[in-house]
Amino acid sequence: MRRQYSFFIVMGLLLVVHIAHAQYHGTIEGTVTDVGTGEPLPGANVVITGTMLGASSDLDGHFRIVHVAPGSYTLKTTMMGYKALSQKITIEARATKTVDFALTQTVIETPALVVTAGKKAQSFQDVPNSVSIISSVQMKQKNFAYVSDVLEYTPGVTMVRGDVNIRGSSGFALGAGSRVLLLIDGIPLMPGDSGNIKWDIIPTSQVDRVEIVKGAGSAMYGSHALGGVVNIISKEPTVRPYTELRYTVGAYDKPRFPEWRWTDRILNFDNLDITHSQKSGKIGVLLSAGHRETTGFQQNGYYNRYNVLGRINWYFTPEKQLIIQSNYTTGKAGETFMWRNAHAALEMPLPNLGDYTSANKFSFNTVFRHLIGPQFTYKVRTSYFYNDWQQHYHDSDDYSKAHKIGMEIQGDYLLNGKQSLTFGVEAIYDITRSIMFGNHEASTAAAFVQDEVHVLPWITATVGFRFDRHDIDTGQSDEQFNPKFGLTIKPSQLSTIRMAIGRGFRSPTMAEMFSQTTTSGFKVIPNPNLKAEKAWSYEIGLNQILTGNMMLDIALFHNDYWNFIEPEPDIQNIVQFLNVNRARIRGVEITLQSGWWKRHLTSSLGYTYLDPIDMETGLTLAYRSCHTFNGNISLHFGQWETGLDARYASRMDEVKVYPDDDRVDQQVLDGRLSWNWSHGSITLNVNNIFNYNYVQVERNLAPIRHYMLTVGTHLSN
Amino acid sequence: MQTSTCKLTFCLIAFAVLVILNCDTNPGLEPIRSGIQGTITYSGEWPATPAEVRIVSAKKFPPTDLNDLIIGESIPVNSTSYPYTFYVKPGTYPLLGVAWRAQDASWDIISICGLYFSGSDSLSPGELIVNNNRDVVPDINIHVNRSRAHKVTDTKITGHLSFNGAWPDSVSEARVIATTRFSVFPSIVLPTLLDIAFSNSIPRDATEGEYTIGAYPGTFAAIGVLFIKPGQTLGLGDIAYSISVGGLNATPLVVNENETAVGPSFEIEFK
Repeated sequence: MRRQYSFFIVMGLLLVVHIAHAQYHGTIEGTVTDVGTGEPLPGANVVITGTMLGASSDLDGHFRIVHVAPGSYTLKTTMMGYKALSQKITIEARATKTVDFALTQTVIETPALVVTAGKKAQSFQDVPNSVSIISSVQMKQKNFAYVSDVLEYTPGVTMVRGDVNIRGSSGFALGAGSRVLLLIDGIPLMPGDSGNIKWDIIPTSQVDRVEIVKGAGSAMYGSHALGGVVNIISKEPTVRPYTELRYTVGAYDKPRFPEWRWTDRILNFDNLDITHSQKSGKIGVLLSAGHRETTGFQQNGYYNRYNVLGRINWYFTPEKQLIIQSNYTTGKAGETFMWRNAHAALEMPLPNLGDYTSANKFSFNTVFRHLIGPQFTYKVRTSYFYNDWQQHYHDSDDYSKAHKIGMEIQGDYLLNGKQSLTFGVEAIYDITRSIMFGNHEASTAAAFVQDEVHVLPWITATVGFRFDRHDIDTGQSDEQFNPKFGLTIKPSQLSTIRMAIGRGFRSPTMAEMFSQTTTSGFKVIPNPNLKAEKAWSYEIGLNQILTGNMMLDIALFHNDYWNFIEPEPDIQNIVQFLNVNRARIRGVEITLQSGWWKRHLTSSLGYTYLDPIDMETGLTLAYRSCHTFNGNISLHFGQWETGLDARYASRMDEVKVYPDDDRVDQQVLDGRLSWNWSHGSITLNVNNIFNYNYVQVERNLAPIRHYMLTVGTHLSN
Repeated sequence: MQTSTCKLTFCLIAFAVLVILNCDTNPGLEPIRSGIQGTITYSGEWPATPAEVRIVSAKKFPPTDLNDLIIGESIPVNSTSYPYTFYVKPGTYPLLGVAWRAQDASWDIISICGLYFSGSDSLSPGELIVNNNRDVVPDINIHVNRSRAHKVTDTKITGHLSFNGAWPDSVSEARVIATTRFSVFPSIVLPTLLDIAFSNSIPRDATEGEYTIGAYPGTFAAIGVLFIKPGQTLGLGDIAYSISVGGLNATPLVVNENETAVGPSFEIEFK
């Protein structure tokens, strides 16, 4: 009994101390505005340097940081496209300090903070890896339905029929496995069966920005992050009620050659999205619903998809926050595996007409964040991802249902303002019930730690590792230790040199190990003895601001792969996933961004050279282009904005089947014109202006010229 | 920016777009307009449920593996007659045929179940020449007797070969062939090309080698060594007799589905 009394007395004292401490604290509040226009800047990050305390500005540019212990601090605000601004402040007990920031636009639109590379918010200049950002503005300019379409315009990133390649990592894996990890708000969303990315899970309308980290990321994220990480950051609920409606209607032009015209109908598509968000008391809510439909430009190329998303941000206290997010997507899509023949390249073979796949995807994620003190925060993430699909083919009715359950606990500890420790544990459990892959279960347990040290004000070193253990119900298990080391050196305000070395791995997916099916003449047989593939990734880069108007970024990279998993068709077209002994991908990436006339005119150019070699045969790895180029130019004046986007990928040297078919470079030019007003915008996009014809995989023509008109409007109180 | 500048910019952009849309730029891939045309007729019933039927051609004859085939489009599996156009680039095609695939089966050389023959020699398919990129060769008709189609399974015949003496200059390679249709007594029954399963290629000047025939289940009446002479039509005389001895074995060999049967060993003496 005495012990119980003691316990309650101690707890009571702690509570009193906590309350007293809370009352003793001060508050910082203020606004962030554009120095030129005086307009409020929503989304600016305001942090107290040397602590984990901070806030983002709301739609009115207002921010508030509470529970700040009395003392002297430096308050810093950062925002993409604006110069960072710092101010020294002194906080007194029980007092509110007002600080207003007026930010000046930078000539170059560099990101302020990135959250993906180190599993926490980091200054862009402190990240040792190459990182590209796709902003919500860029997504609105392009008006594509899915993030996969926008990624193609990022330097070093190519798409091969839905498979994302960061610096040539993935090739084309027939929808089984990806060497790029997809995260949504930091949570892995790779289905447990096929392990490939389902881009339709989140339409671009629900995306705030996309961060692309290039190079092996397994030291923080484990399997799949062999070639890089794509982190989709979804929109947050707004403080004030905000409703947005976007509608896109579009049509495909006639094929360039009359032989390819297969219908007199106007082939069209439309996307509709409605989003509402608001905050009431301690709860912020975002609800979004969307519908996407197309006839397709190819015969049988239709799809019809619906999705809904709900997000609740529950601010229990300024230190405690719970985020609940759920997403559901359902739809069906016609199958366009290969064309009928090169004379009828937009028609499908007669037996395949009517083939389609129906699919449902559901995710439910929670994140609980708790700021214990200015130096320590932890978060607990839980995730559930369900993915099912069924083929309704003339020769197959395969299906698969996959459940992925995950949990992660992560702590961030700030030591003496110069050292930041990130550590955590993660567990994932996969259940697959499938005709194609069989019934299997797998589990992953992992622990990770990363230390970021500001050795000197101009040198930041990052050291970390992750240990993963992967078990499959067939009795196979695999243990992986993946270290990483990074260094950023800032010899001047205008230059950053970065170096990164990391090890990556990818456990074979259930699809790669257990697939057994025959479709369209391709028989796939299982290979349960597949081993995990491994990689060492090296990178050295330079980021240099030139002449105040231009920013140059150069990266040299070298990736060595062992046990590379590739689909290998034999002479009977029987496909099996095999460990190719050794592969190497090295190259150089150069990007140049510039801004002129107060950013009325902006441009970016990106060039990537790849040398992807199968070290066993000496041949170029299949489905990789050695030269890729991206270019963008935008002209902005008043309410008008216009621009051109170009991308080029050289002819793929190698493909897996039909090597004698004609292949050409990819040369795509898109144009746009938009008119923006205070409550909306109208945009006209013309994509593939030259109506250029190319394939990314054998016998499957890429989209021909199409026109899109998008009307977006929003209401906010 | 001033209004006049805006107007000027828009006019320039509109003009540029019009120019771009109307200029004759590189189209990328283009349709193949040349090809071969005719009618495919069918008789009989498929030995198993068919998954698909395709028109095929070959880069060389006899084809060694699927890489030597040009696989065309799918055509209806159960029609009695189908007018086709097989679009191929200009060139010489030593073989044109129809291949089928049973459900859950893959493709192989023995998938070919119908061939175009220009003459009566049923061991040599008709060669076709497509002259230019607008040339469509007409009236190339193919008959398919479905009941004689072979389902691709994991059925093989393997064996050993040895060669004595110098290979004749006219021969480029050797292949071992097996047929279920061969008899000299009481009546002479000779195989057609569709009854023959081919082995891997044994390169010229080899002194020995192993052969593997991608076969089908059945009783093989004869297995022989075929010498390929480039530029010449294939005839029964090429099965060892004219240039060598020891190249034919007429002992029946029973091969079961998905089994690898051990075939005869051949010791070839070149004449």
